[in-house]
Parts: sequence; structure tokens; C-alpha cells
Amino acid sequence: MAAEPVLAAVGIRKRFGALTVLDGVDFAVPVGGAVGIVGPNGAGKTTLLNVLAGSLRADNGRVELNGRDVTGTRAAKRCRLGIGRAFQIPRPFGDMTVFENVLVGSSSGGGRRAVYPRAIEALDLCGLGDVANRRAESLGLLRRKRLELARALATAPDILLLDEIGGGLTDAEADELLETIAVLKERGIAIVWIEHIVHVLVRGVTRLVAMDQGAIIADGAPDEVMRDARVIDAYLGRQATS
Amino acid sequence: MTLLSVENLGARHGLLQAVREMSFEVSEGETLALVGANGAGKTTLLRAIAGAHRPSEGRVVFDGQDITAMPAYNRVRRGIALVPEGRKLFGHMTVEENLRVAGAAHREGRWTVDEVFDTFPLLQPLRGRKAALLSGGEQQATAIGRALMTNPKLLLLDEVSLGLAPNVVQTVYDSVARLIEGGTTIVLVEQDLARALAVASRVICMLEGRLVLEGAASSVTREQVTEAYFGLRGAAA
Amino acid sequence: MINAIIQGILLGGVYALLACGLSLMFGVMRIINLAHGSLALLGAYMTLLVVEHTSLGSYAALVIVLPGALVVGYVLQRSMLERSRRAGELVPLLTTFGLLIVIGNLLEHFFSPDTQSLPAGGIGTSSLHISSSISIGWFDVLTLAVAVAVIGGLQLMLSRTQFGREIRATSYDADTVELMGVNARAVYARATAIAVATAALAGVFYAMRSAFDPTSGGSELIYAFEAVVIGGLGSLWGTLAGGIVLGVAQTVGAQIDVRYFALAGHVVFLAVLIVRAIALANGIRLWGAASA
Repeated sequence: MAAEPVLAAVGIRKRFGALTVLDGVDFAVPVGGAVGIVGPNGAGKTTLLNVLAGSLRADNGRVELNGRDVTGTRAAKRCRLGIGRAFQIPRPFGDMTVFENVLVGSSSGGGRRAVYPRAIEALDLCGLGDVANRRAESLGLLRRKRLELARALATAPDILLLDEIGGGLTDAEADELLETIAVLKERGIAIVWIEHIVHVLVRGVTRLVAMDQGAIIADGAPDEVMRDARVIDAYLGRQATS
Repeated sequence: MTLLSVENLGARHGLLQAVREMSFEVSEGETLALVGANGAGKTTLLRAIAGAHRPSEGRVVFDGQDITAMPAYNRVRRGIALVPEGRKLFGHMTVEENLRVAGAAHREGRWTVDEVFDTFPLLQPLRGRKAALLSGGEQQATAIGRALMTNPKLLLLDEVSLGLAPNVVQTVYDSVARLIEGGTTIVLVEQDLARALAVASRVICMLEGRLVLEGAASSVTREQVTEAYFGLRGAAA
Repeated sequence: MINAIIQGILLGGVYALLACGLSLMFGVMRIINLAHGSLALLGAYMTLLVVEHTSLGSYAALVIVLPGALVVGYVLQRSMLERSRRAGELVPLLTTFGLLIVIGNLLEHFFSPDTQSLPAGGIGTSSLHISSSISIGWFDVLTLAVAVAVIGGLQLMLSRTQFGREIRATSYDADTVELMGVNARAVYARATAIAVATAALAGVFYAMRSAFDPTSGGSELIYAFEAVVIGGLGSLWGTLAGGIVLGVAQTVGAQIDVRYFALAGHVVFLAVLIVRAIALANGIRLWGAASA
């Protein structure tokens, strides 16, 4: 008996003018699951994420959060309902301190009394306790990414959408980022992670979904998906017949 | 004879290190293919060679001269031309005007407006058409023609097949093949591995700004490239 | 009334001559040069110096003043405005405002506060009498002709010459044009040189038609801005049309009541702004260059 997925997208179709960017995508994330999304440029990964997050409205299809239909719900409300998001290029509120940045997130998590404690907890979990009072713009790249995660964590999400956060890190920094994400997973937060840096991604997820030209072409264990000829063809083009 | 030498080049994009410790050489008459996933640093590398992006460390040596500090327009006068990602034509100007603007470099060579129209006959009837109104393939031909107007010794092509239908891509690559036959040295970024290997003599794969694979196009296997591309051990087709 | 309209059209020529440099700088570099009027005034004072110390007349003095203005414009761009331009959208406003004040103070320091004027020669006072109520000053016709010639010349330069192509390409995409071998900064400097030269020319014609002193130029600059906006930012022929529309609005307004001269112009300017704003908000493209 499968439990209800925390996030489900059914039959998502999206066109931009004459271009079909998402062509009937079905996608579900179980509670506490960690799913990675890969695919070449233009596959529709970011569009799918935008539809899930609510910043883009699909032409057809449904999005359900914990069984509740949120297709027509806008991004800010979806955030309050439990979807968090971390962006590719971290853009903290530079003039504000790290703590204040996280506070912005925790204020939308519901419950007036819990706002401060939640923010502090998010900071600790993401390893930012020692820089809490520093101005956000003084942080280096890794800490900025952690701040993104802390801010999203402070909104008390059931599921976190990560948009290409793996870029620009050294091997050691990537390890630290994966540790932070592991901490979030331990709290039962589900994860959907779009990524181009595949070798980092496969260490942080248990399932991989590959997309190409608006459709899902593979779905399964990370190492199997990355060996799938269709997936490799999607990135590198078809094998030349000699 | 080495035409281009990139030595320990590094380049940043804001806080991100887009290119790290890149070192390689290109000999005169060679065609080098640059492959790698999105965000691997290929475009940044080409732009750094062309002078459009300031490196954070390392050197670029062209035709025996250190051009690392040289602004882009001077590099064009020395013989480097870039066909940028996305074509970047001057949309409000006609095809012919786009070509003529590039003629400012005043370099000796065979390329004139008429030569370009002979090489790309599809552009002939479009001389007076505004560039923004052209189809993808026509824009790509114009962009390549525009770069050729500078009579380059080294031509840098950044994803010339992007957004084009397969038959159009074939036409573009036919003209690239003719350029290669004519002796132009080329470095090209290409997503389609088969095409890249078909036209290049050497291939380099980048991952997160680093050079992770380098070899002759004839001997490098798809498996090797796949492994280097994703950074995964044992990823095979 | 017909006379008013004719005078308005001729007045438009004066405005267009001053405004075309402003239009050029904005169209090419997105720089709003608040010191444009001051540079025109500077041109007038330089011509005055030449006329007073040589045997040259006002027109002949231009042979010295205009090349000087080209140099001033070139140096101005390379030394000050280029850095300002790269520093942000609002910085050129601050820099040119500072320049406006500096030029004004320098002129007040080195020249007397008395009003002066430049000799316009024989043409200055002669006019053509078409009827009892319509009289056309030859000097005004000359000014309009010069404005049309300058704008026509600039337009021709932009559309037919290599330099003009470089300017158009640089204003469209300065990064890519450098990849084609064009030095964008040199292009900007040449464009500013031309703009300042046209300002100096306009200043000289202003000085020949009316008296000026070190504090002049303020309201003329405002009229120049209005002409540019009415005609559409970045379009030279538009600037000519805008100047004429403004001139006619002003003279017709003055017919109704002499005090309404400037007000009538401002009202028309405001109306055009509102129409443009509504069109912009609704995605409708109006006359003028690419940007609404």
C-alpha cells in the first residue's frame, strides 16, 4: 500500500508560443524521498520545477501537495503550504545579516511564537551559527548556498526544490553541501533536485529522473539511469553509425 | 606550428569559478572540438580567448604574442574571431550591414562581402533584410560570415547548431568543413558529440571548468567522453 | 495665425539644432547630457573671443570653434563620461550636472555678466515680407536650413558610412561589436565629439539671434529636451519634427496670450508624454526609434 506522495504532478503540459516545453509529464515524490532531475539544456527541467513551485502555471495538468490540489495556488501560498525552494545563483538580501535573511523565511512558516526558534534552528542545521550576525553579502559561495537552504528550511517545508545548487564548488565544498542536504533529509523533508553536475547529484539522491524535450525518458536508480543509452544520447546526440 | 596556447587559465563568473587551470594548445590548421555539460565553462573559455571575458589568472598566447591583457577589438585585428553563442547579430541592421561592420578590422585576406555571399548563397537574396527577421539558419550563416569578414587566423565557433533543425545544422557544418579544408584553424563548442568528432582533429572535454579529457578525435571513444562528461566512473553507453 | 505657425516652424529649427546633439548622445550611449546647454553657451563665448580678437566674422569663426568643440567632446567622453557611463544609469546625470555648474561658474568668472550678442551679419536683420501680416526673417530660415542640413548629414552618416554603421552597431550591442574589431570606447568618444560640435553650432546661432550672458541656456536646454522627447528618443528626424511641433505650439500659444508661450509648449510636451506612457504600458509602439 503506497503512501500518498508529498508532491505529485499529473499530465503537465506547457507551451511557450509554438514550442512545447512540457509534454504530458507525470511526476511524484514520496514522503521523505530524494529525487534528482537531469537532462540537457532545453529539456524542460526548470520549467517543471517552476510549475511545481507555483511560479509558472501549466496549460494542462494537476499539481498536488500532500493530496491537496494546488494547481491554481500561487507560489507564495504554496510556500506556506509546504514547498520550499533554493535557487541556482544565491541572492541573499545583502544588506541584512544572515540571521535576518533566514528570519524572512521563517516568518512565513506559520505560528508567531515559532518564528525566532525556527530561524535559529535552521541556521544551526545548516552550519551557519557562527556567521549569523554577519552581513549576507560578505559570505563566500558555499555559505551562500547554505544560506539559501537555511532560508528555505525556515519556512518549515515538507518538500524542498533545489535548482542547480551544485555549481562552482570544489570537491570539499561539494561534500559539505551534501552533508547539509543530508541533515535536511533526516528531518523528513523530501527533495527534488535539478542538477547539471551529475557526479555530485548522484551522491545526494536515491532516484534519478531524466528528461529530454519536455518528456521523462528514464526513471530509476541513479547509476542505471546514467548508463541508459537514451539518456546519454539526449546529452551527446545520437551515436554516429559508422 | 602552435597558433594558440592557453596556459593555466582561470576565469570567474561573480563568485563562481567558471574556468580552472585550463592549459592546452592549438596548432595551425587544426580543428579542436570542445565538449562538456552545461555550465562546464566552454563559452566562458572561448570568450576569454576572444577577449570578451577577463581571466582571473593564467595566460593566452596567440601567434607568439601574449595577448592576455589585450582588449577584444585588438585581438580581432591580430586574427581571432568569435561567432558568439546565440549569434548576437545586430538585429536592427541588414545582413550586409552586419557583414560590413566587421570589415573595420582591415585585415588582409580573401574574405569580402561578395565572398561571404558566394560561400553562403542562401544569404544572397537577403542582403537588405534586417537581421532580426531572419530564420535561425540564416542568422547562423550571417554570424559566421560576419566573423569571416575579419579574415581570421583562428575562428572560434560557440554552439553553431543551437536551436537549428537537423538539415540546417548539416548545411552549417558543410560550410564549416569547407573552411577547414581551406586551412582555417578552428575551435568549436558542440553539444552533439558525433558531429564534433566528425569534423574535429582533436577533442577536449571540460567538467566544472577543468580539462578532464584530451585526445585525437579518431581515437577517443564515446565511453571515454561519457565518463569525462559526467564525471562518473564506469558510465558507459 | 499663419505667421505664428511659420515663426513656430522656424523656431523649431533652432530647437532642433540644439536638440540633435542631445538626441545623438542618448541614442548612442543612453547618456542624458545635462551640460548640453552649457556646452552650447561655451561655444557662443568661444566664438565671441575669436570674433573680438581676430578679423573673422561669426560664421568664419566657426572654422576655429567647431574643430575645437570636436576635441572638447572627444576628451570629455574619454576622460569623464566613459567612466560615468559604466558606473551606472544615474551617474552620467550627476556628472553632467556637475559639468553644467562648472562651466557656468567658469564663464561667470572669465566673462562679464553683461549680456552680449554675436554679430549675425547682413542677413541678421533682413527679412522677406510675404504679406502685411507674414514676414519671414532670412536668418531664421538660415537657422532652419542649417538644422535640416546637420540632421540630414548626421542621418546620412549613420546610414551610409562605415563610421555610422559602427555607431549603430555599438549602440545596439557594445560587447559584440568589440568582438568584430570595433573599439566601442573610441566610437562613443567620436559620437560625443559630434554632439558637442552641434551644441557649439547651435549656441552660436542662438547667440546671433538673441542676447546671452553667462547664466543663459537653462530654458533653451529644457526646450531641447522637450523636442527630443516629443520626436522620440534616439530618432534624429524625430528630433527635427519634435522641435517644430514645440516651436509651433509655443508661437500659437503666444498668439492666444503672450504669457502662454512656454506654457503651451509644456502642455504639448506633457500630452505627448502621457500618450507615450499609455502606449508603453499597453505594448503599442509609437513613432520614433525602437524604444518607446
